[in-house]
Amino acid sequence: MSETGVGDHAIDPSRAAVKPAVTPVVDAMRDDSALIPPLASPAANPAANPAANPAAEAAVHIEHLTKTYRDFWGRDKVRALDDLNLTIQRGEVFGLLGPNGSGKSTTIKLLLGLIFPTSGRAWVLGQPVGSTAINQKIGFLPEESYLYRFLNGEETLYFYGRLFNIPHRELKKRVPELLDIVGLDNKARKRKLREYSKGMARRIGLAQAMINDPELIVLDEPTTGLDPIGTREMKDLIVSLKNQGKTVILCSHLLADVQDVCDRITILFRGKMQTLGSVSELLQVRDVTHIETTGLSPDQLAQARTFMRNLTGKEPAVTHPSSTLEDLFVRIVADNTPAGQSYTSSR
Amino acid sequence: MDVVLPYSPQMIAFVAAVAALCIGGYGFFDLIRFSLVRVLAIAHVLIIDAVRRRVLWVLPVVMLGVIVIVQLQRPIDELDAVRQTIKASLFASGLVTGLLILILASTSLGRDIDSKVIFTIVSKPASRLEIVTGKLVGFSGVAALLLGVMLVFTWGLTHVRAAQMGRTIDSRLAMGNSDAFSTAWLEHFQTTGLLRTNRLTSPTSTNVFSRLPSKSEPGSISSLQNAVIPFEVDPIQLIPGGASNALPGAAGVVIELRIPFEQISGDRPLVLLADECQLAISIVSQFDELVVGPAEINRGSPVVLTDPAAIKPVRVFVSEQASQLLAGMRRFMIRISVVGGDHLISLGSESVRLIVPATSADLFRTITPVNLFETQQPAPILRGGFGRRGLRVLGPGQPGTGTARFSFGTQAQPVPLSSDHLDLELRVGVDRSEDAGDVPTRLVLTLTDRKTGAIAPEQIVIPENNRTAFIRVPIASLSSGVSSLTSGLIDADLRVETPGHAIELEKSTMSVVEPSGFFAVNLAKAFFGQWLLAVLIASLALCCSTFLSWHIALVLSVFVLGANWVVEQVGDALASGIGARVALSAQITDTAAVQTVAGTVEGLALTLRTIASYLPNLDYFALNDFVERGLAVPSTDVIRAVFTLVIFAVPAISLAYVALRRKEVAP
Repeated sequence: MSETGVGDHAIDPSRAAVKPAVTPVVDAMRDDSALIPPLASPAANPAANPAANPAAEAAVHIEHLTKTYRDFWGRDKVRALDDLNLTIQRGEVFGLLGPNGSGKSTTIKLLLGLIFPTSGRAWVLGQPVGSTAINQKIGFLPEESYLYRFLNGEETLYFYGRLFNIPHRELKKRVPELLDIVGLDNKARKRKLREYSKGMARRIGLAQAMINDPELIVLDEPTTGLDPIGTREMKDLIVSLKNQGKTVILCSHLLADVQDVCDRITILFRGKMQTLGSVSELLQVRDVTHIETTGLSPDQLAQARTFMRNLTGKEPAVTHPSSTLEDLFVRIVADNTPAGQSYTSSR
Repeated sequence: MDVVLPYSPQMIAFVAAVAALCIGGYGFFDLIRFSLVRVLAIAHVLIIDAVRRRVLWVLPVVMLGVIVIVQLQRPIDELDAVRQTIKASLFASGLVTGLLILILASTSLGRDIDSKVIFTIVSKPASRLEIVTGKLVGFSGVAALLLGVMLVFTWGLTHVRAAQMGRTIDSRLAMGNSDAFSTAWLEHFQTTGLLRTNRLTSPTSTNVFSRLPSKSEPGSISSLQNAVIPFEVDPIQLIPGGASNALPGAAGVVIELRIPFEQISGDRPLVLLADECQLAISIVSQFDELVVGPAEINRGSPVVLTDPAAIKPVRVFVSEQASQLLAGMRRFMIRISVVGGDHLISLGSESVRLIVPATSADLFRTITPVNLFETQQPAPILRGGFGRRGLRVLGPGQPGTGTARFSFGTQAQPVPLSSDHLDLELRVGVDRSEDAGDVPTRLVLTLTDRKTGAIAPEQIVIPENNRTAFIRVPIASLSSGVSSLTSGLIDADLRVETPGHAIELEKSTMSVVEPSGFFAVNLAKAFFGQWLLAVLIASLALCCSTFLSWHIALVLSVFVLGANWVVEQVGDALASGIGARVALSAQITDTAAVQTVAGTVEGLALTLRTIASYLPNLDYFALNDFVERGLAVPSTDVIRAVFTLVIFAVPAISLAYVALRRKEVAP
């Protein structure tokens, strides 16, 4: 019998994670006030409890960052980000969550120098935001693959590689490797991006984000447009990047994806940070225990229920775990893909 | 090489300061990490974009259009056929390239922002300086691609056309039924070919004399001839001496004349007699428009010379009102002609000057003539009879017969004489009176070496109205008997031999022709000028598109590019002195009203001229005309075009960089 916490799913596609179908845990999660703790205490927030020089040590360090969009006459129109303080440590996978218009994309754009802060400061990999030089160590996958559609896959990677001043000899080696990693076969590499499906576009977008072997990767909705296999591969890749010691900032609406891969998350709403902490810490329901076992006969199950009732004085909920739809999908496609071929080759 | 750059040191300093501040100061860190690899990557993508968007597909359409136009043309002769082919092809190349680059460059940045591709570029280590530079290099590459293809096409088409016309010339000569002019013309082009690249040397001065002067004598004119003496005055110069509060011209102006005269009978001098010679004096603008008539000069009385030796000057008073007009004009010419048919006057550089009245004799201010025109011609300009162009040479049998003298070469710049002959081009307007009969006009051309005094045998030239005649004179004929080499200082005297006929001259009526280089090289220079213009268009369009939407950027770019040209086209209407001319043509008599109208108009014209002077002059890139006319594109013009590009593209790109760096590309 093992005890697992929520969010500790294995993400190896060969292993299907097991979740309870309907449990009191899920009911408990519906009670937001029970789930979402108030804004993390300074002790829980590294930004508020910095080392000697958090700006230099952290992957991202943000102090009182505010962004107000103004109209033509300079009048305040929308405050997209309001006094954000945040520190993302090197090597962690960090999730930026929030509904539309909450300030996620604004934060990313500010960190990448696409827009300028109204007030506040931010550092990325120890250098102030706005310095072009720091982009040398950053990879960015925007929410849609904003790439030149008249280039083919290979040309796209060569173009972005040259923007990083990567020597041609090295690019000749790295481009095919990256295309393999993101699962674009030889035929797809020579096709113009305008002919790509949405999933293929995400893959080439991801490849361009990794062309410079970045220290920090910003992924904005990375699984949008990907099929379940692609989604799974993307999540595997994020974990693999983390294992290589890279920092990943993940911005997604698909909370399950975030939950699967992120070490810490923050939830933004109306430009303000609502919560911050590790996923397990934030999602843990402390007064509910989930016990998992296999091979119980009906009699043994009845005994266990009785035992639990006597122990707690409450009737325990008993369910049979089910696999996720994603796991089922991955299994079916994997079973039907010839050995040595990518499942996307048939396209 | 003597390059005259049309930009003041202040303007050059301003450009350098803008570049230094924007790029050297504001963009210092981007400058030190500037990478050519990134620039070329961005440029390369733009070129691929242009190719894959099938921008080049417009070229076959253009080529087809040029071929159709060439076939539909009605050239006046074989040379004109080739000239029109070159013209059509160069015009189409420049127009299409300019328009395409304007549209591509105006929309490029906007498209990147709209499609959000800029997100993935700006988030890379490409600085805004590299993005702007990369785009400029990219569009320069696209322009080079377009123009390169059109260069090959133009070269091929002109050679095919020249070969066709060469065969036509051969057949016409073989038929032998051409007139004298045409035969000479056809033989010339049979020898030289139709794809020429020549260098023309214009005369340093052109005068029409009543009687050719000897070395020490000034030139002379007689009746039905005129001379003009150009002046350029600052209005302050016309303020009466000792009356600093007075308006310019308030006390009038005095024209002082020291003009010797002699009595003649017919064409030949008779004797010096102490009689009187009456002159007609008026003042005209530099464009030959009458500004001050005889009524305002010498209080309406005739101007009479009484001293044949001109020891004692004659002073002629110009009215106060007319003088105030002259102050507004700034540039004007005093026109002098002889009244009556029996006198001849001699005019030298010191024959006419202006004196501004003063409260005491020691405060008199004198103003001497200047050269208002592009040639080095000193004042006065003797112009022969009154023609449409001002320079008119009359044949014998009528009053005012004269000889035109074209002086070539100076001590510093003698006429280049590199072969055994001297080639001249002559293009005149021919005017035949009705009773002169339908006989061909015969001209007599005499070449004289000014230094050695050697005179070549007379050449007979039969011109056609406004068509170029080609004259070849053996250099040996310029021998003085001692040496066959010439000094390169040549006077070409041209007179009309046919009674009752006249010719009209222009600034470029006669030129010395010298072969210079290859046609292909010359053609490439013209295309290079178009490429420079395309780069300028790209830089201005990029600059505008960094802070405006592409629609507005397109319009603003067109304005910036075209404003100077528009002001140039308005030309005379905005020239200095327009205020006075407007007041004059409106027949305003009140002095205060004249000053108000003249001042307002002058101010507006000055404003427009000032704005235009800070915008690029596209004429500096127009090297097509040289190739069309078979002239070698001067290196000085190419350098001037390059310099113009630098003067305007550097600040445009610097400002584009600053604007883009301050721009939020993800609004």
